[in-house]
Amino acid sequence: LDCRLKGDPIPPHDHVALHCQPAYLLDVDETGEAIGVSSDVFRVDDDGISTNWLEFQDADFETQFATACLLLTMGRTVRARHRVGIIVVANVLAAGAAANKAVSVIHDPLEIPPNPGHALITELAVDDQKVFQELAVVTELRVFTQEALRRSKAAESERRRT
Amino acid sequence: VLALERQLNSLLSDEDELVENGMTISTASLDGLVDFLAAHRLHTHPRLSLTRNGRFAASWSPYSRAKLTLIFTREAADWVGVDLDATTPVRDKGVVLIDSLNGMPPPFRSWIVD
Repeated sequence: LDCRLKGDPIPPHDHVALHCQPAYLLDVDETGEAIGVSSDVFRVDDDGISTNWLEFQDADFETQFATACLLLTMGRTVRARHRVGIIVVANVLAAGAAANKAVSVIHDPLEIPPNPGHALITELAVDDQKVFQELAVVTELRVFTQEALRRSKAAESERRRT
Repeated sequence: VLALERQLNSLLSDEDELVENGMTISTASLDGLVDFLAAHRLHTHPRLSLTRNGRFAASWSPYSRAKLTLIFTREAADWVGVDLDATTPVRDKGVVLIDSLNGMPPPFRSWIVD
Protein backbone atom coordinates (compact mmCIF):
# COMPACT_ATOMS: atom_id res chain seq x y z
CA LEU A 1 0.00 0.00 0.00
CA ASP A 2 3.07 2.23 -0.17
CA CYS A 3 2.66 5.34 1.93
CA ARG A 4 -1.11 5.43 1.56
CA LEU A 5 -3.01 4.98 4.79
CA LYS A 6 -6.42 3.71 5.77
CA GLY A 7 -8.68 6.75 5.94
CA ASP A 8 -6.82 8.86 3.37
CA PRO A 9 -9.14 10.85 1.11
CA ILE A 10 -9.18 9.67 -2.50
CA PRO A 11 -8.26 12.37 -5.05
CA PRO A 12 -11.30 14.02 -6.69
CA HIS A 13 -10.30 13.13 -10.25
CA ASP A 14 -10.01 9.41 -9.39
CA HIS A 15 -12.78 6.81 -9.74
CA VAL A 16 -14.56 4.34 -7.47
CA ALA A 17 -16.36 1.17 -8.58
CA LEU A 18 -19.63 0.03 -7.01
CA HIS A 19 -21.00 -3.52 -7.17
CA CYS A 20 -24.51 -2.83 -8.51
CA GLN A 21 -26.71 -5.61 -7.17
CA PRO A 22 -29.19 -7.25 -6.84
CA ALA A 23 -30.11 -7.03 -10.53
CA TYR A 24 -33.66 -5.91 -9.77
CA LEU A 25 -32.26 -2.60 -8.47
CA LEU A 26 -31.03 -1.69 -11.97
CA ASP A 27 -33.15 0.41 -14.33
CA VAL A 28 -34.33 -1.70 -17.27
CA ASP A 29 -35.49 -0.25 -20.58
CA GLU A 30 -38.34 -1.38 -22.85
CA THR A 31 -36.31 -4.37 -24.03
CA GLY A 32 -35.57 -5.51 -20.47
CA GLU A 33 -31.89 -4.49 -20.67
CA ALA A 34 -30.20 -2.81 -17.70
CA ILE A 35 -29.24 0.72 -18.75
CA GLY A 36 -28.82 2.55 -15.47
CA VAL A 37 -28.80 2.32 -11.72
CA SER A 38 -31.58 3.18 -9.32
CA SER A 39 -30.77 5.20 -6.23
CA ASP A 40 -31.31 2.05 -4.13
CA VAL A 41 -28.03 0.48 -5.29
CA PHE A 42 -26.21 2.82 -2.90
CA ARG A 43 -26.47 0.69 0.23
CA VAL A 44 -25.53 2.50 3.41
CA ASP A 45 -23.79 0.25 5.94
CA ASP A 46 -22.62 1.31 9.42
CA ASP A 47 -19.26 2.54 8.11
CA GLY A 48 -20.47 3.95 4.78
CA ILE A 49 -21.11 2.84 1.21
CA SER A 50 -18.68 0.14 0.11
CA THR A 51 -16.81 0.76 -3.17
CA ASN A 52 -13.40 0.07 -4.72
CA TRP A 53 -10.84 2.72 -5.68
CA LEU A 54 -9.54 2.11 -9.19
CA GLU A 55 -6.38 4.23 -9.13
CA PHE A 56 -4.90 2.58 -6.02
CA GLN A 57 -3.20 0.47 -8.68
CA ASP A 58 -0.64 2.19 -10.90
CA ALA A 59 -1.80 0.95 -14.31
CA ASP A 60 -3.92 1.95 -17.31
CA PHE A 61 -7.66 2.41 -16.75
CA GLU A 62 -8.80 -0.90 -18.27
CA THR A 63 -6.30 -2.82 -16.12
CA GLN A 64 -7.49 -0.91 -13.05
CA PHE A 65 -11.09 -1.73 -13.97
CA ALA A 66 -10.31 -5.43 -14.43
CA THR A 67 -8.59 -5.53 -11.04
CA ALA A 68 -11.54 -3.77 -9.40
CA CYS A 69 -13.89 -6.38 -10.91
CA LEU A 70 -11.83 -9.17 -9.39
CA LEU A 71 -11.63 -7.46 -6.02
CA LEU A 72 -15.38 -6.87 -5.97
CA THR A 73 -15.87 -10.63 -6.18
CA MET A 74 -13.95 -11.19 -2.93
CA GLY A 75 -16.29 -12.70 -0.37
CA ARG A 76 -19.45 -12.07 -2.35
CA THR A 77 -21.42 -13.50 -5.23
CA VAL A 78 -21.27 -11.72 -8.57
CA ARG A 79 -23.87 -12.74 -11.14
CA ALA A 80 -23.86 -12.11 -14.88
CA ARG A 81 -26.73 -9.66 -14.57
CA HIS A 82 -24.97 -7.60 -11.92
CA ARG A 83 -23.12 -4.50 -13.08
CA VAL A 84 -20.20 -2.30 -12.03
CA GLY A 85 -20.95 1.36 -11.50
CA ILE A 86 -18.03 3.72 -12.13
CA ILE A 87 -18.20 7.10 -10.40
CA VAL A 88 -15.78 10.03 -10.47
CA VAL A 89 -14.98 10.96 -6.86
CA ALA A 90 -15.52 14.69 -7.56
CA ASN A 91 -19.12 13.90 -8.51
CA VAL A 92 -19.68 12.17 -5.18
CA LEU A 93 -18.27 15.15 -3.29
CA ALA A 94 -20.39 17.57 -5.35
CA ALA A 95 -23.57 15.61 -4.65
CA GLY A 96 -22.82 15.70 -0.93
CA ALA A 97 -21.97 19.40 -0.96
CA ALA A 98 -25.24 20.23 -2.73
CA ALA A 99 -27.07 18.63 0.19
CA ASN A 100 -24.83 20.34 2.78
CA LYS A 101 -23.33 16.99 3.73
CA ALA A 102 -19.65 16.59 4.60
CA VAL A 103 -19.31 13.57 2.33
CA SER A 104 -15.88 11.96 2.02
CA VAL A 105 -14.50 9.19 -0.16
CA ILE A 106 -11.74 7.46 1.75
CA HIS A 107 -9.33 4.58 1.20
CA ASP A 108 -10.26 1.64 3.44
CA PRO A 109 -8.06 -1.34 2.51
CA LEU A 110 -9.33 -4.64 3.91
CA GLU A 111 -7.31 -7.61 5.17
CA ILE A 112 -10.18 -10.14 5.31
CA PRO A 113 -11.12 -10.74 2.61
CA PRO A 114 -8.01 -9.09 1.13
CA ASN A 115 -8.97 -6.00 -0.81
CA PRO A 116 -6.27 -3.30 -1.05
CA GLY A 117 -8.51 -1.03 -3.10
CA HIS A 118 -11.55 -0.97 -0.84
CA ALA A 119 -12.99 2.50 -0.32
CA LEU A 120 -15.91 4.05 1.54
CA ILE A 121 -18.30 6.87 0.80
CA THR A 122 -19.07 8.29 4.24
CA GLU A 123 -21.54 10.63 5.94
CA LEU A 124 -24.63 9.64 3.94
CA ALA A 125 -27.84 8.26 5.46
CA VAL A 126 -30.52 6.04 3.96
CA ASP A 127 -32.94 8.97 3.62
CA ASP A 128 -30.58 11.10 1.50
CA GLN A 129 -32.74 10.42 -1.57
CA LYS A 130 -31.73 13.47 -3.58
CA VAL A 131 -28.05 12.71 -3.12
CA PHE A 132 -28.52 9.09 -4.23
CA GLN A 133 -30.55 10.21 -7.24
CA GLU A 134 -27.70 12.55 -8.17
CA LEU A 135 -25.17 9.74 -7.74
CA ALA A 136 -27.34 7.52 -9.95
CA VAL A 137 -27.14 9.95 -12.89
CA VAL A 138 -23.36 10.30 -12.68
CA THR A 139 -22.74 6.54 -12.47
CA GLU A 140 -21.42 4.88 -15.61
CA LEU A 141 -22.66 1.30 -15.90
CA ARG A 142 -20.28 -1.42 -17.09
CA VAL A 143 -20.42 -5.21 -17.20
CA PHE A 144 -18.12 -7.34 -15.07
CA THR A 145 -15.12 -8.86 -16.84
CA GLN A 146 -15.50 -12.48 -17.90
CA GLU A 147 -12.61 -13.40 -15.61
CA ALA A 148 -14.38 -11.91 -12.58
CA LEU A 149 -17.59 -13.78 -13.43
CA ARG A 150 -15.67 -17.03 -13.93
CA ARG A 151 -13.87 -16.68 -10.58
CA SER A 152 -17.05 -15.78 -8.74
CA LYS A 153 -18.85 -18.79 -10.18
CA ALA A 154 -15.97 -21.09 -9.21
CA ALA A 155 -15.90 -19.67 -5.69
CA GLU A 156 -19.66 -20.11 -5.37
CA SER A 157 -19.39 -23.75 -6.49
CA GLU A 158 -16.64 -24.33 -3.95
CA ARG A 159 -18.71 -22.77 -1.15
CA ARG A 160 -21.64 -25.04 -2.02
CA ARG A 161 -19.41 -28.14 -2.06
CA THR A 162 -18.04 -27.40 1.41
CA VAL B 1 -47.97 -3.61 -22.71
CA LEU B 2 -45.21 -5.61 -24.38
CA ALA B 3 -42.56 -3.27 -22.98
CA LEU B 4 -43.98 -3.58 -19.47
CA GLU B 5 -44.08 -7.36 -19.80
CA ARG B 6 -40.43 -7.47 -20.90
CA GLN B 7 -39.41 -5.21 -18.03
CA LEU B 8 -41.28 -7.24 -15.42
CA ASN B 9 -39.81 -10.45 -16.80
CA SER B 10 -36.34 -8.95 -16.53
CA LEU B 11 -36.79 -7.62 -13.00
CA LEU B 12 -38.43 -10.76 -11.63
CA SER B 13 -36.55 -13.40 -13.63
CA ASP B 14 -33.97 -14.35 -11.01
CA GLU B 15 -36.07 -16.07 -8.38
CA ASP B 16 -32.97 -17.23 -6.47
CA GLU B 17 -31.79 -13.68 -6.03
CA LEU B 18 -35.21 -12.48 -4.89
CA VAL B 19 -35.37 -15.28 -2.31
CA GLU B 20 -31.76 -14.77 -1.13
CA ASN B 21 -32.52 -11.13 -0.39
CA GLY B 22 -35.82 -11.89 1.31
CA MET B 23 -37.60 -9.74 -1.25
CA THR B 24 -41.37 -9.42 -1.05
CA ILE B 25 -42.83 -7.79 -4.13
CA SER B 26 -45.52 -5.20 -3.42
CA THR B 27 -48.50 -6.04 -5.62
CA ALA B 28 -50.13 -2.82 -4.41
CA SER B 29 -47.16 -0.92 -5.85
CA LEU B 30 -47.50 -2.80 -9.15
CA ASP B 31 -51.19 -1.86 -9.25
CA GLY B 32 -50.20 1.77 -8.66
CA LEU B 33 -47.66 1.65 -11.50
CA VAL B 34 -50.12 0.07 -13.95
CA ASP B 35 -52.83 2.57 -13.05
CA PHE B 36 -50.36 5.45 -13.44
CA LEU B 37 -49.30 4.27 -16.90
CA ALA B 38 -52.97 4.02 -17.92
CA ALA B 39 -53.95 7.38 -16.44
CA HIS B 40 -51.42 9.58 -18.25
CA ARG B 41 -50.54 10.25 -21.88
CA LEU B 42 -46.79 9.74 -21.48
CA HIS B 43 -44.09 11.11 -23.81
CA THR B 44 -42.07 7.93 -23.46
CA HIS B 45 -42.38 4.65 -21.63
CA PRO B 46 -40.25 4.77 -18.46
CA ARG B 47 -37.38 2.63 -17.28
CA LEU B 48 -38.41 0.35 -14.42
CA SER B 49 -36.70 -0.99 -11.34
CA LEU B 50 -37.56 -2.31 -7.90
CA THR B 51 -36.63 -0.78 -4.56
CA ARG B 52 -35.06 -2.75 -1.71
CA ASN B 53 -38.47 -2.93 -0.03
CA GLY B 54 -40.23 -4.35 -3.08
CA ARG B 55 -41.88 -1.27 -4.53
CA PHE B 56 -41.89 -0.54 -8.26
CA ALA B 57 -40.08 2.55 -9.53
CA ALA B 58 -40.44 4.26 -12.93
CA SER B 59 -37.78 6.66 -14.22
CA TRP B 60 -37.45 9.15 -17.05
CA SER B 61 -34.07 10.46 -18.11
CA PRO B 62 -34.44 13.05 -20.90
CA TYR B 63 -30.67 13.51 -21.03
CA SER B 64 -27.70 11.88 -19.41
CA ARG B 65 -27.39 14.02 -16.26
CA ALA B 66 -31.09 14.31 -15.52
CA LYS B 67 -33.48 11.81 -13.99
CA LEU B 68 -36.93 11.70 -12.44
CA THR B 69 -38.07 8.64 -10.49
CA LEU B 70 -41.53 7.79 -9.16
CA ILE B 71 -41.85 5.06 -6.53
CA PHE B 72 -45.36 3.69 -6.29
CA THR B 73 -47.84 2.74 -3.61
CA ARG B 74 -51.42 1.80 -4.48
CA GLU B 75 -52.70 5.37 -4.32
CA ALA B 76 -49.67 7.64 -4.75
CA ALA B 77 -46.03 7.92 -5.77
CA ASP B 78 -43.03 9.41 -4.03
CA TRP B 79 -40.91 11.25 -6.59
CA VAL B 80 -37.33 12.49 -6.66
CA GLY B 81 -35.72 14.38 -9.53
CA VAL B 82 -32.38 15.92 -10.41
CA ASP B 83 -31.25 17.97 -13.40
CA LEU B 84 -27.54 18.62 -13.24
CA ASP B 85 -27.43 20.23 -16.69
CA ALA B 86 -29.91 23.00 -15.88
CA THR B 87 -28.45 26.52 -15.72
CA THR B 88 -28.84 26.17 -11.99
CA PRO B 89 -28.86 22.45 -11.08
CA VAL B 90 -32.24 21.34 -9.75
CA ARG B 91 -32.85 18.73 -7.04
CA ASP B 92 -36.31 18.18 -5.62
CA LYS B 93 -38.70 15.56 -4.28
CA GLY B 94 -42.35 15.20 -3.31
CA VAL B 95 -45.48 13.08 -3.58
CA VAL B 96 -48.17 12.89 -6.29
CA LEU B 97 -51.41 10.98 -6.56
CA ILE B 98 -51.65 8.22 -9.17
CA ASP B 99 -54.09 10.12 -11.39
CA SER B 100 -52.61 13.60 -11.02
CA LEU B 101 -49.19 15.22 -11.29
CA ASN B 102 -50.33 18.29 -9.35
CA GLY B 103 -47.56 19.50 -7.10
CA MET B 104 -44.73 18.32 -9.31
CA PRO B 105 -42.75 21.32 -10.66
CA PRO B 106 -42.89 21.94 -14.44
CA PRO B 107 -39.29 20.99 -15.28
CA PHE B 108 -39.88 17.46 -14.06
CA ARG B 109 -43.53 17.18 -15.04
CA SER B 110 -42.69 18.10 -18.65
CA TRP B 111 -40.37 15.08 -18.89
CA ILE B 112 -43.42 12.82 -18.44
CA VAL B 113 -46.39 14.55 -20.07
CA ASP B 114 -47.20 17.71 -22.09
